[in-house]
Amino acid sequence: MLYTNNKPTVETLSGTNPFRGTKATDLSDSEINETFVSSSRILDRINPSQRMPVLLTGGKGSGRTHLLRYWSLPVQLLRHAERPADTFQSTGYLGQYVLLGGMDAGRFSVSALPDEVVGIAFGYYFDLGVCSALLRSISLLGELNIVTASETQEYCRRLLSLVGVRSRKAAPGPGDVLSSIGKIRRRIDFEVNNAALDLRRPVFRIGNSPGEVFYGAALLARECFACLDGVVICYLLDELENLDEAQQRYVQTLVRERREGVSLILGGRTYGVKSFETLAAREVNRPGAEFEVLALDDFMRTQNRQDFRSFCAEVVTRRLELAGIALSGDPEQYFVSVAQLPTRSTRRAFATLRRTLTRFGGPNGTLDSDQVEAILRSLARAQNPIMEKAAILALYQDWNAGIELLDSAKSLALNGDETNERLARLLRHFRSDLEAQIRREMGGRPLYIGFETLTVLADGNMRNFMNIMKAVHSWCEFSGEKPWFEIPISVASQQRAVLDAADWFFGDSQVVGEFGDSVRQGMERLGELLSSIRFSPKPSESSACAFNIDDSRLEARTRSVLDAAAKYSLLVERPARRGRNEDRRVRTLQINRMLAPRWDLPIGRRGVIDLSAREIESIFGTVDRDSFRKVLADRLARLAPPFRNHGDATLF
Amino acid sequence: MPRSSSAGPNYAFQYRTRVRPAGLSSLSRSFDILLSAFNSSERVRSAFQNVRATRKIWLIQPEYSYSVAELPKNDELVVPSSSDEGVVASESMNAIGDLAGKSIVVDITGFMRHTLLVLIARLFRARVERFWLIYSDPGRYALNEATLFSKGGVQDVRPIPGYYGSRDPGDFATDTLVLGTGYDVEMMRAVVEKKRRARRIDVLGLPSLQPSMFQENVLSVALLDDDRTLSQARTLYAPANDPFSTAQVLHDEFHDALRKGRISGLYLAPTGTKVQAVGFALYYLSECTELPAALLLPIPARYDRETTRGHSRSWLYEVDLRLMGALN
Repeated sequence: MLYTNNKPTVETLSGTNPFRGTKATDLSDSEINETFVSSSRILDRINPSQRMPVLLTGGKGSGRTHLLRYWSLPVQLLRHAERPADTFQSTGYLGQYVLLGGMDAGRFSVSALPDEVVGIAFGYYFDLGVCSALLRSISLLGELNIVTASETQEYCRRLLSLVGVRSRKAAPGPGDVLSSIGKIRRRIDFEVNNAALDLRRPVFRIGNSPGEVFYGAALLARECFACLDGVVICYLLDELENLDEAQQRYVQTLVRERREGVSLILGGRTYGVKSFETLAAREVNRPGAEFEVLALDDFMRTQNRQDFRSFCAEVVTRRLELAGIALSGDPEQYFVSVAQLPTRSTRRAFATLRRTLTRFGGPNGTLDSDQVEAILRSLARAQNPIMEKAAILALYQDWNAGIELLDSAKSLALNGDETNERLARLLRHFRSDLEAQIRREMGGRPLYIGFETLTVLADGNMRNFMNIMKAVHSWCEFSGEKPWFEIPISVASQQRAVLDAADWFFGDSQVVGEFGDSVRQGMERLGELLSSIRFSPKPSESSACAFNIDDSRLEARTRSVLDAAAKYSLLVERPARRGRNEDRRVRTLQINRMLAPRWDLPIGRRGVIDLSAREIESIFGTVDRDSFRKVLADRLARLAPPFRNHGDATLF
Repeated sequence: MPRSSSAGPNYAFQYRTRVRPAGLSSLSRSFDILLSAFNSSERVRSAFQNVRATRKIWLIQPEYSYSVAELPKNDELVVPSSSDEGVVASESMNAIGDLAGKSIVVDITGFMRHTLLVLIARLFRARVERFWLIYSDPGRYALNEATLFSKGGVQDVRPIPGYYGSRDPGDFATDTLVLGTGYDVEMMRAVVEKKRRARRIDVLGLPSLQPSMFQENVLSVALLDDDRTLSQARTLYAPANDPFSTAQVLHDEFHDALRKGRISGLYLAPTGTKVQAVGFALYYLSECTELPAALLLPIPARYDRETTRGHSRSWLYEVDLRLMGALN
């Protein structure tokens, strides 16, 4: 239904969503191939035929599985469907995909066993499982006549010898080897299962040394099959997060002891990488030495923004093509991307200014009613709400600095708006925040519209982008719009979609483990704090969506909560900088842009506020709501008349 | 109940009896041993008081985080040395002692699912021919479909000891997740995420414990999703309060497919009602121990002591393994 060669009309498109199927795990091999959009920057960095192992990490939806499956044998063969026998010589590798989740490794973590034994026991099982996967690939090559029967028999005979099984057949085939390996594996399965129930150590014979079958099966394949002569067997090990620390040490041991002709690409979520140590002598594998690391979402996030935007445009075009729709140019034209501010607003801020001036009388408390009116006359710009907001902001800044407000108001009225340098500067910095305030005062919310903005929200993560697009399409259908044909997608549909996508992202980014509740609560509080700052009368920073913290001053648990939030991509780490005293390290963390609509936050990279240890502890370190309320009130007191506690919070 | 569609245990010849709360004290039989998991709900405490048994034992589950001062003073207690479900079940069995010639009834209402399932596996392993289970229905859940039972998030999602067969990890093309659905969206989501590669089949409780609960169940499942198209979604229906019918539904759906190699790995995740969880366990232990099947659960850090109000009725289930044909 989704992938059709019939050109749809608006009517037939109804009921299908071209952006459904955002997860690579839901796609078939042919769909993986059809929907893959290459990013040359990634393919230049890593290649399955390279010798150096690679660790591919990223958050959910960063594209790891799609990439690994794209490199896997079944999809390789699809790309060479006309001449499958040429597959390996033209690419230089055979991609063997292994889903580590299928190992159900959690059952090996029996409390009765020390970690090293868990690692080795699991390792044997792991090697056999990978060998089975490779054997199935060899079977596939046999079915396609890419390998000969005699080659396969020789391979199977030698493989049986490797695993220590004497074959009764003169010419064993892949089925015989799978059956023999299956028997060994079943014994391990039953023993581990029963031992867990009986609370004893599992007992089974380990027939090979660590890695012997893992590398042996691949090296034998290179020897036995002419088409694999000189070809790299690349193991694509996906879902590393499903292995515990001891089991990952086994995998790291394989990385360290890699053999010529066999490479590894490990795929895992950022939070799921638990160790770089090996089993023996606790050696540590290091990026750049034993392996390369590519963090996909960081990579996509930090590369030129236009590259990711182009990537998104290509994906949208491809998805719509598959649904039978040909776009006539860039997707941007299909979205409403500009919405003018109203020329008249409620002027709530102006009314608030009148009240606070009357109540507090300015920094010295001495303004009388005539003086208040004089100030208001100088600032009033009913026909130009944004300029009026800027003028009010400037007055509040002067109030905070203790400047006489009559003089301040006069300076803001001088020379008209066009040449008022100060207001122009304020608008350059705070336009986004002031517009957001105006929209909120009129009962609305800040806008996140336009194709470009939607790609920025996704923050380098393709699944996030696809979920936004899926929601956009759904809301268009719901409201009777006809996207991709004539009328641009409305502001309302885009707004609803980004809110839906933000809620989805927040709910989907479940932190597994002891810090889950603290992370969730902390994010809500942080969002509330940043939003309160943005919508305060005198925001301390423009477009504040990130914060600095000296985490050496935090409790260990709070640091762990922050780390968990970053690993699960709820917070995004920006490059660290040294603190004022050089022995301190300041972290800069930004709320993931996908979450910005949830709290009406900006999505630029500009504004960073300094948060103290006390503030961070109240946000992420404690369940006590009162301490957070107090911290919030103290922070906001500096941002609204009468501006108590002059000066912003510092880290130190 | 329809006859089994193909060879396998017969879950039909098992007794279930509905009992009013006051009727627990006048059941037609008394028991040698009652084992119940202590919590703060009225339905658990009244059942413990009313069921007639020579020995009554409270299991103190670590996930409820009761302090010593909050524990019953005059009853026999099992206070496990660890929260590991294998240890909890083992220490419970040790406390119970030799079951030869004795009748045991387990009130499953307050049990953690993972501990309950290991206990049932131990009863199977001990070849206890017959045992009874009690489950007490609440009047209602405290927050209806928004009720959360687990606290502190999901610690892990993993196979339960005693419930892992054997599968080829290199072949995952037709892995299938059978999700027993309930209210706790966070728990269900964790399982779905763990087995995101598998085709998913949802088991909804129908008939539900209370009429409104079916719709609440449907709402919870709707919150899980995501991306499945209508053609990809599959749903089974099994009574929320009948373990035997639940086991039968699973048997009917998967018996042939498992034995004919059409499923590379079957993952049963009973995150719905505890009674359904028992049904999943009976099905697995009777039919799947040597097949590519496993039962897995999300493990919470802590559990809410009181998520229900009232006690509407109880159910007594007689599990006769000999009659079921599960002891061959």
